This record gives sequence, structure tokens and C-alpha cells, in this order.
Amino acid sequence: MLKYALKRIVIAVITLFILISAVFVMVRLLPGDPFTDPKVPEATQEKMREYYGLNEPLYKQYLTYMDNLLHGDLGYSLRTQGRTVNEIISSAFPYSIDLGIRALVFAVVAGLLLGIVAALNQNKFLDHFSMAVAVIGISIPSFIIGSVFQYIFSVKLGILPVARWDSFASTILPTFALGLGSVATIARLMRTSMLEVVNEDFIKTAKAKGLNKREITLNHQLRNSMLPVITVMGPMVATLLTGTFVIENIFAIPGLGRHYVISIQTLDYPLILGMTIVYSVFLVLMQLVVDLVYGLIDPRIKLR
Amino acid sequence: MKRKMMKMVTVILSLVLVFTLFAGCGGDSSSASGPVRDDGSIVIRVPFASEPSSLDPGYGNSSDSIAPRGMMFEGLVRIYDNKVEPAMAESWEVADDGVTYTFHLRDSNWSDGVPVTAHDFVYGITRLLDPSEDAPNGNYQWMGYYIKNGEEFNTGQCSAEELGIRAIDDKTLEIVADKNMPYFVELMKLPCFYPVREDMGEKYGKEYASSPETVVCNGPFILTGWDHESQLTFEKNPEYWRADEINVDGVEAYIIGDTETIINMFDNGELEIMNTIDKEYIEKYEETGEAVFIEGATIWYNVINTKTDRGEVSKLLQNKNFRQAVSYVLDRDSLVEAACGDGSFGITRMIPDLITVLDSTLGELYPYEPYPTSGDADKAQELFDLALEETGFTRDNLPDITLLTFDDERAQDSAEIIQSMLGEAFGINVVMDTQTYSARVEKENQGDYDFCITNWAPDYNDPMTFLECYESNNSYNMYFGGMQNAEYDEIIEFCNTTDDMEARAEKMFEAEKILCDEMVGIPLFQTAGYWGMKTYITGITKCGLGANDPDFAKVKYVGEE
Repeated sequence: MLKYALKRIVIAVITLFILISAVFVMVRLLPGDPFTDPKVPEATQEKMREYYGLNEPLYKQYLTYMDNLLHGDLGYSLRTQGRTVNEIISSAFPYSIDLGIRALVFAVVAGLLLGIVAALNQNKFLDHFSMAVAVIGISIPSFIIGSVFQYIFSVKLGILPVARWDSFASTILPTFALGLGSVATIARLMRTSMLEVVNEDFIKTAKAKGLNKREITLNHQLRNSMLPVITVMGPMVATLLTGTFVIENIFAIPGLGRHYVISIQTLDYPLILGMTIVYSVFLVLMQLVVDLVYGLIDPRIKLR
Repeated sequence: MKRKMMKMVTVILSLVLVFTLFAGCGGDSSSASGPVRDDGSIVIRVPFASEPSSLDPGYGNSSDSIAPRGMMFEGLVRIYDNKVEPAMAESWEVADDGVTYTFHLRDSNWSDGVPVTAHDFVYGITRLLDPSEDAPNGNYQWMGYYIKNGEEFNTGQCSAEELGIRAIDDKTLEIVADKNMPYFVELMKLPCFYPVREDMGEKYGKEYASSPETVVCNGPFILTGWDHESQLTFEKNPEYWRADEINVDGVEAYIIGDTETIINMFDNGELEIMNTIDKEYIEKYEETGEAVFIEGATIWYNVINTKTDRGEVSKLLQNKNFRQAVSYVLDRDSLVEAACGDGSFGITRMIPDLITVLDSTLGELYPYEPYPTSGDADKAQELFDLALEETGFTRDNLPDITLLTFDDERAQDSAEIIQSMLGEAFGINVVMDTQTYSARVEKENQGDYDFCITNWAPDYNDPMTFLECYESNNSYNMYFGGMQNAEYDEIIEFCNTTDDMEARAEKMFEAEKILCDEMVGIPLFQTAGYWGMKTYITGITKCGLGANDPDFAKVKYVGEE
């Protein structure tokens, strides 16, 4: 297991290295230039490029960047004066993580419950109800859900603030809006998986052993149904915790989400790279965690 | 053991769920409505579209940083209703040479009680132009080129002492302009010309104004909090010279990117203003009396490339009759209705009517409409036939025209409408080339376009800000079609050097007529729009010219009626 984890970490580092290098080159290939502005004289633009080292040959910029990166320095953002990418990310990340964890807890709890209830009541009312909720959650994009929530709970009912992240009440709508899609995904997976597991040999064995239904469901069926859910949890955690543009934008939450979009729009090269690194490190890490958890849950899986 | 764990997990999960549900019923505490707090203080809440790139007067480049700096600082003058009003300068006079300005400062203090002096202005502007590594070196340095030796100092060709600015005494400031410009005083409103106190500037360098601790303010408000990407908090500055007239205790600016959210918050009483009102909501807020109309001065153009060799199609592009035919065929009224619908209107002259000329406006002194805004199809066909004759094309073998546009809704809609209007009228196939903003600018600069959708906001309140773009040697020449016209250059040269302001006005109108004849930049529409303000607030104003950002120096809470 330890050997396996080490192997995966080495692979992860290599993956990240290739990714960062590729993104480094690719953003430079984007048309335009971060300091292009018809109102600003060429000489001033040149000066700014010089200041940020963008006039150096690309390989030199790359070496400098990699060197700094090894020291944990992601460089200066080109858009804001004097703010480093490290500062921007470390001030925004807590918001995204906070929102992400809330949404995740909501998604896991509600998703599992819905899925389990649906599976135990297959083809009955509760099943149809749960799956209806799931279909709605999957098919309606989050920006619509967010706006509708705002309209109903804030403008019409006036019980929650429209946006911003400054009180517990203000966290409720974004949490639900962000989590709903994942609730749906988890619920559907859980239901399918529960129904599949019912026919497995070990359930029959358990029945033959004379265990009662509750014990079978809790100890055998549930546990073994979790595998597919765990599989999707990796990318899900990474996505929820590293910020989403749509929800953060609608609810004016100062998280990481907007930087994914704005950094590309403004060709803020260091910030684009910083965001890439944050997201990919998280994603790779979560995948690793998922793989390790597999081994814990299903003893049949041997990690090598 | 396992069973116990399972039970515990179940209990925890249930608790979490119940807690979440409870929370759903609980909190309406923070959705306060109205600017009056429980303790009786009045705090105005406003949206900013994005994080200010900097609050340092010597740096800032984005328009998002203009409003907050206008709250924290004050320059020599402020602009209301497109007119200059005294601010830090109580009065000023121009010497007979037309370039030496003497400003008399009023008695006022920085937020820490230290008096504002002429030296603060000298330091601020010297710092703006300082080419050394330790200076802010922002991209508004070029604005300082309007001051004598500004460019020379900025490019290291002369010392700071030779810069055309000096403090005669603590309250008297002398600035020498680079040339005779009637709009010079108005330029002094710009954030880059705000004063900076030397002790603060030297102490904090590039960190100046990066946080409430590293800045002193001379404007109506003091920065007291800057929660990046989320909120800026301002408190009333008791040292401000007009503090008595401001009955608001503070301003909170929230950074909100989504316009729907802003509308919802405005409706919910969580914001006092909205910066724009989308066209579908204009009527609603006109009814409530919360919509405020503002005539902008930005003009959108369809520029025609007459300079670069674009192959066969250049024959057409360089043909004046063709360019005029395009101008005649465009029905700008329906174009602007479809592309904007927000109050913007079609225009066929090169300069907005509201621009100041002498003591009046351009529209008053020189009314002009060279082309009908709804187009003239017959005239267009006539000119197009002439153009075909002169270029040797026939209607069956017309070359394709590439129309460069960018990822903005108005730009794309305008391009599509032009595409269909030209296709219908002349049978020309217009090929779209949609780019991001900065890629568009780069292509435009390189002359990589046949037609291009572009816009121009005035840098100062004078026709020259529009006219100079077409001068052969101007750095913007290629953005505006690359016109080379010796007669035109001569007129611009005259206007930039003469001291006779009446002759200058005449000549500028002449230059405009040349442009309308050449039709290298075909004007499409002038921007205008609505923004929203609650009726219990007065004194937040916007100036159509230049950046469209609110000014809070006269804000007042008048209460519900």
C-alpha cells in the first residue's frame, strides 16, 4: 500500500510537470497580449512587458518560472498592481473551500439518502419522487438554479440575502445551488448500484446465514454499493472545493471561481498557471485518495 | 465495532441534515434593507463590477479603479454635467502664453490633519512620470505627456526639475502645459493627477494605497477596509473641505460581477445604485423613478482599412465612392435598436454633439449630419455603381470582405447587421473574423482587417481626441483605417499649435468634414444608457465623457418621501 501510494505520487508529480509546461506554452499561444491597449503608447506597453519579464525569450521565462515554482513562488498577477498569485489564491481559496465543503456535505447526505430510499422502494412512489428530484438536479444548469433560488427566497419571500458571503444566512442559497447537481449524480449512482448489489452472491450468503434485512442492508448492501459513488467523489470534491465560476459569480462570493475565467480573458499568464496548478494538484490528490479508499472499502482490490 | 461506527456515522449525518434544514428557516438577519443602520448611521452600498487593479493614483489602469480613487482623493477639479468645477483648486488662471496655468489651492487637509499643499501635487505628478524602477510605472504615464517635458522626463531625456510643474508656495501651483489646449484644466480631474504626499509616497513606494494603513486621503471618503475581490469599505472623511454637506457616514462597495444579482440586490434594498440597466428593465425603473439617463460620448465605428495591401479587395477599400456607399447603405437607426436598444443612438458625424467647443458645445455651434441615420439606398447604389466602374469589378465578381469584430455582444450584433445589410444591398459576401478584445486590438494595429468594428471613448472634452486618431503619424492611425491625407494633417498641425481658439474651432470642424468625406471610419452609433439610483439618495453623479464611473463627492441621503 505504501509502495503503491509512493508510485502514484511520483506519477502525479510527472503529470503535473507535463501539465504546467503544456499550459505555460499554450497560454502564450493565445492571440493577443496582456498589455495590449490602444490607448497606451507602445513604449509604455514595452516597459510593462519588460518589468514582468515578458520580453525575455520563452525558454528563459520558462526556466525562471519553474525555478520560482520550486520555491513556491507563483509570480505576480499582471492585472492587479503588486499582488502576487500566491496572495490572490490564498485569499480566495478559503471561500471556495468553505462553500465546497458545505455543498459536498449537502450533496453526499442528500444524495445518499435519496439513492438509498429510491433503491429500497424500487418502482414505488418514493423511488419516482427521488429520481424526479435527481433528474431535475442534473438537467437544470446551476446558473438557472442559482437565479431561481435568489428570486424565490430573496426577492419574493425575503428570507435570505440575495448574495455575498458575510453571514450564515448568506451561505445557504449558494450551498444548495452548488450542491444540487452533485446530489443528483450521487443519488442516481447509489440507486443503480444498490440494485445491482442485491443480486450478488454475498447478499445471498448473508440471507442464508439468517441475517435480518436491516443488517443485510446496512452492513453488506450499502457498503458494497459505495464503490461507484467513491469513484465519482474524487473529481467531485476537486471541482466543488476549488471554486466554480457560475455560482460564485451569481452569489458574489470572492472565491477562486472568477479567476479561472477572468485570468484567461485578461491573459494574466501567471494567474492562469497558478489556477491550473491549484486545480490539477487537487484533482490528482483526490484521485489518489479515492484509489486508496477503494482498498479500504473493498478488500478484493489489492493496491500494487 | 463496525456496527458502532456505522451508527455513529448515521447519527452525525442526520445531525448535519437537521442542522442544514434548521438553517434554512433561520436567518433573515443580514438582509437589511435601506442604508440606515440600527445605530442610526447611514451607509450607502454600491456595486463594483470588478476588483480595482490598484488604488494608487500613479498606477491604476482599469476603469474599476476610477470610482474608488475619486472617493479617496481629489484633484484640482471635478467634473459635473460635463463642466469643470473647482475642487482642491479654488481658482486658477492661464497666462497670456496660453500654456502656463496657476492654480490657487483651497485650505483643506489630508485625512490625518496635515494640510494639502502644492508640493503634494508636484510630488504626485513627478512620481507618475518617474521612469525609475521604484516608481509605480503604471500605464497612465502617457497622460502626463500633456505637461511640458512630461515625455522627456518619462523617457529619461531630462530631469524632474525640468518638468513643467512647480509649487510657487504652499498654496500656489504652477503647471506648464505641453501646448495650448483648451481642455487642459479638465484633464486635471484624472486620478493620475491626484496629489500624493511625499512622506507617504517615499515610505510605501509601490505599496502606497495598497491597504487602508498605507494611504492618506484628501477626498470625501477614507478607505477603511479592502477585502480583496469582495468589498471595499469607506468612511466619511471629516477633514474633507465639503464634509459638512455630506450626511452619509460611509460607503460600502461590493464586488459583484453578475448583473442579475445586482438587480435582485437593488430590488431587495441591499444596494443603492446599479451601474447599468439592461434594456429589458429600463421601462420598469423609469416607472419607479430610479432610472437615470446618461448620454455617453463613446462612438462605435466600422473602420475601413485603406492602407495595408489586402490584395484585390484593397481596390474597393481604397475607393472613396465605395466607402461612402457603405455609409449611405447602413440604416443606423435599426442597427442601434437591434444591437443596443439601451438609449444609444445612430450618428453619422465623427464627434459627439455634447463635446465642448469654445464656450458652447459642438452640436450648438456646428450642427452637422452628413448622412441620414436611417440610410439612403438609392444614393448608396449610385455611389456603388460608380465605385464598380472605377475599380473594374462587376456585381458578379466581387471580392469577399473580412470584417474583424470581437467578443462583445454589441460588436458582434453590429457586425452581423452590417454583414446582412451589405449582402442585401450590394451582394457583397462579408466574412466575419471574431476575436477576443486584445487579439482584435493586435490585428487592428497590424492592419490585418478589411472592415473592423471598433469604438473610441474621448480622453478629454475636446474634438481633438477624436480627430487626432486619423492623423498620418498618429499612433492610432492604423486602428482607424490608416488614412494618409496631407491636407488633413496640416489642419491638425495648425489646431495643435495655434493660440487663436476661434480659428482652431473652425478648422476642427473642417477636419471633421474631411473625415466625413473620406469615410475611413464610418460612425455607427453613440453610446447612451441608463443606470439606477434609489430615490432616497441624491448627489451620486456620472459623467458621460470618459470613464462611466460614479462620483460620490456630493452624495446625500434625503430619506424616504
